[in-house]
Amino acid sequence: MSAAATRLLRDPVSALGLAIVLFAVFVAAFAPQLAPYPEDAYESHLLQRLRPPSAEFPFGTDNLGRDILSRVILGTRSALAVALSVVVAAMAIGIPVGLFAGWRDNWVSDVLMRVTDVFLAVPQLILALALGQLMRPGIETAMVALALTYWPFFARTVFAETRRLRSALFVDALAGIGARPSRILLLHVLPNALPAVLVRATIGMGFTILTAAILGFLGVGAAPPSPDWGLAVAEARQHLPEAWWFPTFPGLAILLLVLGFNLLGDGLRDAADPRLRRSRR
Amino acid sequence: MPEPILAARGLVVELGGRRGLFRRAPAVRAVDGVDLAVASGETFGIVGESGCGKTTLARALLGLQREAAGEIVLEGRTVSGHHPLAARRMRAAVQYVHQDPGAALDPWWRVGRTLAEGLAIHGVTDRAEQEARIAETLAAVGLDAAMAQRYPHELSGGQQRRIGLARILLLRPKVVILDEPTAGLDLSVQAAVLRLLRELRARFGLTYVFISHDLSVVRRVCDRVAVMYLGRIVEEGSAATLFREPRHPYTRALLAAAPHLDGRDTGPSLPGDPPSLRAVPHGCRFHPRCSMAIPLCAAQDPAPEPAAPGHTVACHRWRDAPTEHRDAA
Repeated sequence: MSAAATRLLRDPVSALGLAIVLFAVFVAAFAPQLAPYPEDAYESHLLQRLRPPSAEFPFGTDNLGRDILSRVILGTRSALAVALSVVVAAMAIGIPVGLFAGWRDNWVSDVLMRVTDVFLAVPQLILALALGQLMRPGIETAMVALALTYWPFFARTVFAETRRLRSALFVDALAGIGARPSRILLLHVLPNALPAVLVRATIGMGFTILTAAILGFLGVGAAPPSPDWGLAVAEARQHLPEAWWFPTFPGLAILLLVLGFNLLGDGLRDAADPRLRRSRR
Repeated sequence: MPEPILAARGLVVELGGRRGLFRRAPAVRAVDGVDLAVASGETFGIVGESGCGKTTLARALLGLQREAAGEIVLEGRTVSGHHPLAARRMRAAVQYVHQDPGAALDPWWRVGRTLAEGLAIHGVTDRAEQEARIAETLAAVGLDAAMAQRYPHELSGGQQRRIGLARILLLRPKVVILDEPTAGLDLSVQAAVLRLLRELRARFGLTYVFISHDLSVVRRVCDRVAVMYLGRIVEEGSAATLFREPRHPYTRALLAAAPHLDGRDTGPSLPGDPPSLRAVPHGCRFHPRCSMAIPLCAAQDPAPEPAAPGHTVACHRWRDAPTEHRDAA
């Protein structure tokens, strides 16, 4: 593990990704302390509407006179929380499906993987939009929709890893000394599949932040007045092109965080590459 | 012969059969009607070319591969006809050492944890007892107790082999199946491993089933030897007579093809590759490659018959073979 971590940090691009993600986590953790006007999450000040960036409001103010910098900072927390819960929920569905389908070789695993393929074939955003329309619009609906559309990626990843490990000699040796399949799967196959799952989860975080912002933009996600980035971009549409700062800064926040997760995910994938991981074996 | 500790009768093992939702893959018979009896305390060798079913036979004896037909008897008890998990439980007295013991260890686990896991599976959960038994077993295979702190990739080939042995000795087996225990080791390490195996057999009262294609090793360590060809045993006898007076043409060819260290000319190697298990020849399985084949060989499958006390051959023409006395190598 330490060798992989060293390799990750030695690559400047993935180190940058890690720095962005760590910075975002820090901002999210201390959002109320960092935001200059933390009460602006919900309070409006109609006298200072749409002020351009200045020393008082570095990112300007929005259509309800709220400080955009504060709202971008406060939005970090919900963006990360949404992405994390979606990825965790998707893992909770996808990993057991992948483990089971990969371990067994019968009609049940065939059915599971064909269902997974169908989900993968339909664009995630369309599926999430459809699910979001079926349920009451809101951030919870968006999260459920995203989790229900992201689990197939984990199922595929874990399935492939399980298939690879199922025929590994050490798994055979465990069966040879009488280990139950549950022990082999949970204590041996899953930890060995974990690097691949971690890579997929990191890339999934970025992807989910982006998709959640798109859902917010389209009105299926977060509802006003919550400081959601996608929502802010949507609200800004009516005030363009005069109030350019209104959509720019929330949009940059989305871009930066998605970029950070993608760079980190790519770096992790390179660090966990089996050809470079030889020293582990 | 005394009561065998492990015996198989008419053992058939099929591989690769699969029933999917839309597909149905046919199975091949990797082991096709094998009879064998391993006496307590002996080293029983199984030799043959790659792909002849040696490892499949071992996995079936172990219980990892379910037999399609036939019977396996362990210490007088029939232990066949069960699902792999149940079969493994009934055959805890039989254990298997992999060909590549390094790859048989989870790369993320320290060796000590892997060793303790085997004990935990077999109901020894007390930490202190686990540690005591691990230290004792590591000493028995000639390793330092500090080895338990290492990761598998930090061990040498010889050390990995010793860990592989320690792992199954902890479970107190009676029969140990050794799959190519010397493959990939250089000669000095090979000799040390063989010496260790002999010591352990005496110390723990073990019986070995020794799978190898290295004839010189088999000749040195085995008491009795079975020669396998395409899923069948074609000749079986004591190591001394089988190597001195091979009866089956296949055994002769194998022995002739083995390289000699003393510079004697190697005999003609076997023509061609063994046929695929998907297209087993009619009659005697060996007849397309046999130099002595007659029309009868293509028509009729030879049954094993006794050629001498404790020596069986499955060949129509073993009587006609020239009796050559090979000098001991």
